[in-house]
Amino acid sequence: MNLLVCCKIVPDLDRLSLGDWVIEGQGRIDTDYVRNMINPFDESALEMALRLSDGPGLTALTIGGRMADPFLKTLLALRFERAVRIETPADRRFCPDWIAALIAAFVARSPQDVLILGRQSGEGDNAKTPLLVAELLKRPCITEVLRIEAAAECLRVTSQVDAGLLVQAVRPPLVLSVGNAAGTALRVPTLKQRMLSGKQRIEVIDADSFGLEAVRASAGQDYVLDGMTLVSHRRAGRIVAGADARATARTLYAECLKQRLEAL
Amino acid sequence: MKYTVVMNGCTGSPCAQALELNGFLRQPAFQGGAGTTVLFHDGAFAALLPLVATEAVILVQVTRYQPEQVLDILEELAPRLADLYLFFDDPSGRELSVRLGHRLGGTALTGVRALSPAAQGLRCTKAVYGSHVEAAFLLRRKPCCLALAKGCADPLPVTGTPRILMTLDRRAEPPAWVEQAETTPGPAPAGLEDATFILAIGMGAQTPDRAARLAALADALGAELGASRPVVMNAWVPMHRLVGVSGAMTRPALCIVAGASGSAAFMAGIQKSRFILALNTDDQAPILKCCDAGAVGDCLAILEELVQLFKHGGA
Repeated sequence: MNLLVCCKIVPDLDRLSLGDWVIEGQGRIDTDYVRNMINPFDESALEMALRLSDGPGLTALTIGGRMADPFLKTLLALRFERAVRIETPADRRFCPDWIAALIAAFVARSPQDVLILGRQSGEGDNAKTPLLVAELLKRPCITEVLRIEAAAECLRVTSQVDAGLLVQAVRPPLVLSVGNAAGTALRVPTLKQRMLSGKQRIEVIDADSFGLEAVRASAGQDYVLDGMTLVSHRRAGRIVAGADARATARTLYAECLKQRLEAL
Repeated sequence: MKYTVVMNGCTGSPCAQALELNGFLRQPAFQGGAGTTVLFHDGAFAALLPLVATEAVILVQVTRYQPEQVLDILEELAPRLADLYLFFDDPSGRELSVRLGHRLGGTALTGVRALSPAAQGLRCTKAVYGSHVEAAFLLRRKPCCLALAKGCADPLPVTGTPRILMTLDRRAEPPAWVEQAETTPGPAPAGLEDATFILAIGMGAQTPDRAARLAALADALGAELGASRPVVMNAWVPMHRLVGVSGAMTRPALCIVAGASGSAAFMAGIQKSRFILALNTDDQAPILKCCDAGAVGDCLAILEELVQLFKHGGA
């Protein structure tokens, strides 16, 4: 079974201090200096794929610049058979239609039975890409996936639904969109695994080679960013200090909590 | 403005979201407009009708919620529906909005907090950058399929009974790619959205054992336990206790935040708290600037002392 996991390398936004958030021209926020990471939902998707297969048939795909390469090398060390980067310098934050079109075009070139994607990423927060990929490929989609297990001739997929858990035995081809799946942190490769995979190359494909500029231009016309405002959660932030935990607790209780607890 | 609400009544009662939607419809953009709800149900629709916030409803009975089937039905009904579709911020609402928008050749947006008509289309706002930023988008291509953000409006009880425009029976066999399907009820809701007192814990809990002790302290204080995303992803606390944009959007009178740094996505879930008390060992943690009062120190040690004071009336 060919499994494709799509992952996005994103800035770790929690590393930015409150003062670092500055909106520049054209709605851009400079996060270039922030440490990057694999989008957490995609990290779950990658780990789920590794639990399904120990390498053969596993492809990891990302779209973006060279800064993604160290992460793809890690995935090769973890025994992904292929690590592919679709090269584009373009701003990808609010272009899920174009991203989905690129993924669908890649699948047309390199057929896949199952696609696993995180449900959204933290920059654009679009929450659209897996769903659009399913529509473009005309494949069934299961959202909010929590667990994927191999079963005879099919997959057993557990997903969160509005009032519980849905467990389905399903036959590929499929698109799976991963939700809040606890206990799915991506494993870390050993030094030996890194050395063994050292000569494996990342495949780089030029986004223009797919001939999808029209899709990108169209998305830019119909769905336009029209301004940004910083969200502030600031409050008074009065710090209460005490000599130790007991003294701090006494002050907090007397000055902040007693009346409020009594009023509940 | 005419609009269509799509409600999935097959997988539980979407009560909280329906009341928020009713609050959302009080926006000026909808005044004087007419709405129709397409209500998907598996037979038990009577209990769902009081949640319908529009004056008219189309009832569609299906065997179970199956997104591909529901999308086919919505495509079929589209010529007679208004070209502004509103969906709830739940798994089915987010999925249907995006996929229907694509199928109808329109535009979809999830997590919508507000909307207003604009000269060239519809202007919608939503949180981006992990809830650090609110962005406005101009949607120029109809139909517009919007999934509303949780907490987009104050809940408002629904009054009146909708007029039933049409009743459809679309019960069907499951699609061929599904060999077997079974739904099990999730844990009982934690009730965080309605809680008046919440103790929300973060990675400052440090270990599963300490997280369990904090949970016990929440119980002793009479607070509902909430948790940040890293805590539930580590399975220290069950997922249904997640607070933030992908969990509960709360509005308690009192919220104690223990050991959470205060990421924007988490803060969005507690921003409507009347009073926030934060405990953190890091004096540079953002939460200490986003609380009403805070203390620097080990959250477990301070909370253990607070529980003793609570038990003995401050003595």
